This record gives sequence, C-alpha cells and structure tokens, in this order.
Amino acid sequence: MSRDVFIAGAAMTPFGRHDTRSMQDLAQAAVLGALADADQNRIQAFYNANVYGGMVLGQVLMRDLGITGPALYNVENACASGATAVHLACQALRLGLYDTVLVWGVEQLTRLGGGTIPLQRNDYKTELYAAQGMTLPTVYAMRGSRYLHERGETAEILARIAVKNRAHGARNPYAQQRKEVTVEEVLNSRPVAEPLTLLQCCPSQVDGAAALVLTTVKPASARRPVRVLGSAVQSGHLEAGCDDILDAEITARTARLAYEEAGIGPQDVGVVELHDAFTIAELLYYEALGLCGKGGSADMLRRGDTALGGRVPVNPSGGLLAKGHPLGATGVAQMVEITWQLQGRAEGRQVDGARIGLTQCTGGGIAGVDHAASSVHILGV
Amino acid sequence: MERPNGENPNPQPSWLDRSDGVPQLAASRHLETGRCVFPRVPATSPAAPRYEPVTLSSYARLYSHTVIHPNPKTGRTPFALVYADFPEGVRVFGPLDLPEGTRPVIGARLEAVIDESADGNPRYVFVPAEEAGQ
Repeated sequence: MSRDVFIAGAAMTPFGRHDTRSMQDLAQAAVLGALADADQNRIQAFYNANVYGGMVLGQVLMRDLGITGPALYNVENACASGATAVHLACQALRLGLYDTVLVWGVEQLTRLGGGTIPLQRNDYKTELYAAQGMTLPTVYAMRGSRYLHERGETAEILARIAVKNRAHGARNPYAQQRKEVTVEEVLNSRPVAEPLTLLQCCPSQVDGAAALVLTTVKPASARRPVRVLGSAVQSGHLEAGCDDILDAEITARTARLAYEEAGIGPQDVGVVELHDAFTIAELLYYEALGLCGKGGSADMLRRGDTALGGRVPVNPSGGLLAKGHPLGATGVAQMVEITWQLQGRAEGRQVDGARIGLTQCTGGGIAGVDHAASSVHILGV
Repeated sequence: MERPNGENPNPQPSWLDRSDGVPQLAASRHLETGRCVFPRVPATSPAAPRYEPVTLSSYARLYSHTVIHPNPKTGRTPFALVYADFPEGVRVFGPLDLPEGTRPVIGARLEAVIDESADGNPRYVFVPAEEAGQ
C-alpha cells in the first residue's frame, strides 16, 4: 500500500567556491542541518548523490559523523543524481521498507580544474562526437540557434532568462552569483557557444551540498508539512532519424508521469525550480512542463509570468544560472528551495501563496539520446 | 593483424564506409522501425543484427549550428559546429569549415568531406556546397 511521504527537514550549504572546505565538510554540514531542521535523528537508511566523487563516497563522507551501519546507497545519474536519489528514497518509503530516510547530494567541481564538464566517454558514439567538438554547451547552443530560427526571435529572448534568474539569485544568500545584470551585459559578455554568452551559462566552478529528511510519519512541527505528491524518473529515448531538438520529450514524458501521480495539472503549480543550466533550456522546459503551450515560451517570459510576482515564478532561487550547479547536489537543493517556498521560509525571494511546487532536473549528455535522465518532483502543502 | 581470438585490435571506425572504394559516412537502419542512426552500430555489437548498413550520401542540409569561442587563454580561434540532416533520414554532428568572413546558415547545402591524410586517423568535416543544378 502506498504511503504519504513528507519532507521533515531541509538544509543546504551556500553554493560557491569552498576552497578551505572538503567534500566531507560540505556534506556533513548539509546533513546536520537537515537533521536539526527535522528535529529527529532516527534515520533508517541513507542516500548519497554525487557524480565525480568516486567509489563508496557516501560512507566516506559520513564516517566521522558516526553515520555507519544502516544501508547507505550511492546514486549517480549525472545532473539528475540528487533527484534520482530522492525518487529511490520515496519508493522505499512508500513500499514500507523504511519510515524515515536521509538523502543528500554533494559536489566539489572546483577540484576538477575548471572548464566545461566533460561528457562521459564510455560509448563509441559519444567518443566520436566529443572528438568532433561536442560538449554540453554545444548541445544547448544548437538548440538555441534552432529556437531563434524557428521562432523568429533574437538572442535578446535568451538574455532575458539570465536577467530574470540572476535578479532572483541576487536575493538568495545561498546563491553563488548575486549580481543583477542587464540584457546588454548578458549579450556583451564573452561569447562561449553562439548564441550563448558567458552569463547565459551556469558557472562550472562551484561546490555545495543539500540534504532532506524524508519520512512517512507526519511531522509534528508547527510548519506546514510538505508532502511529495509526485516523483518520476525517466531515461532518454534513442534519437534516431532527424528529431525536433526543440521538443524536450524526455522532460515532457517525465512531467506527465509526475502530474498523473500527483493528480494535478500544470495549471495547479505555483512555483517551479527547473534545470536552467543554459538559458535556452528554461524556455524549452516551460513548454515541456506544460506551463505554456508549444511555441508560447517567449511570450510567457516577456509577460513576466515566470518572474517573482508573476503567475508561476520559475527559479526564484536564481536557478542553476545564479545559484550554481554542483551536479549531485542540484536536484536535492531544488527540493530544499521548494520546501522553503511552500513553508514561507524563502526570505527575500518568497513566492506568495504557493501551495504546490515542481522541481525538474535533467542529467547527462549522451550522443544519440535526448538527455540520459530526467526527473520531476511535485511537492505540496 | 588479428588477435588469436579473432578480434582486430585496430578496427576501421564504425562511421567510415570504404566498401565502394571511396570513403563515405556509414550509418545503420533499424530493421523494424526503419529509422537511421549514425555512426554505424559496430559489427561486434550484439545489437548489430537488428540493423542493416546504410552508406550516406555526400550532401546534407544544415539543421542547426553554433560557433564555439574557446577561452582566450587557449589562443585557439573560433570554429563552427553543425547538425547536418542527410536524405537517408539521419542527423550527423560535426565541424563545418567555412571561408573566412562567412557564417553558418540553417538550410544551407553541405558536403561531407572525409580526410584520411592527416595522421592516419581519418576525420570528417562539412564544407559549404553549391545548390544542385547551379
């Protein structure tokens, strides 16, 4: 029998350069924060999400806290690792394997030396395309060029995403980049992969951790209990033939499953944290998540629907563009932000009256599929 | 030379087809769905029997593009990358060599050129092509 899953505790470290803190320091800070927020420590299982940290990382990270003994699962699904770990935890809770578990995500990208995050190279097709110049910015830039061509837009519409999310991030003490920018500043920043400029790309030098305590025991605190209404993970279909690269099919499919499970539709969502690794992504995901109709994303942005104060604010945290994108931590941090939003704890960037929030994360560039993984979670009070 | 187990330690890249004596891009068509994938599924793959080999035409249409601007610290100059759609119904990613001062244009006709001369490692690149009949 399915059981309700609640978020009893939520915490994260500020995202940014943490030159003097180890990955252990970051993960432990987030975990202790979530446990304190939940006001309990009877945890029956642990889920660690990370991409580049290596083998049995979770056990390494928690050893000095004495978190040893119970099951600890290490989860990797590229940028969707954190959200995938939450999804697996929800499954276990709903099946009754556990009553209370702890999920965290952590990443320390500053130790990789900078530059573009490398594609995975264990595949002959990705190997070929990487040798030919494919990187993740390339993949999104291709979508950007095609979007501007088909929709009759200019690069200004892309820049507007960066302006919005960086304005949101300026209000968030957990965000790495807290400076508001203008359209002109975005367009005049260093070109990276046309039509994308530097301020349209999430920073690649970022560290951080986020954690959630998930439970089937309704929290007794005075705060509004946040429930996980829907949780879905899907993998990408083979891209054969000449598919439409503006159709974020994997995200649309994952969102449909999450909406169905939650028993709601896109019109019921009041706040969204989505995977804006590059500006073009946010426009495509408006459509894939059903926040607007196909072809409606540019007008939705121009109307201010997705800005703080708009109909359905998107990325009030600043998103990946401003808050930062420490891969394994991102999906968990998105849910931390939505939890705080639904409980009225997002000081400085609070969305008024939201009762349902959605998070969306995509993971991994594999040549030949429309992303390796996608995850959508719907939270509600 | 083959290894004792019959494997070739230096196989031809799966994207390269020399069966007609002229190097061409190699793809595969799924036998059930009829949809094409590039590069060709390697012959060693257990999935290979699900596909038939397809040799791509020399010409394609530019579907989308970007110009990469390497970090100035590298000293490298900008270069163009494209998705090119082939009449066999498959999209190929690769670099586009453009004359100086020109830019990629969606819908433009491209020719796939295979360079086997460089260092023994063949590579393919797209170049602009005149419209057929011109």
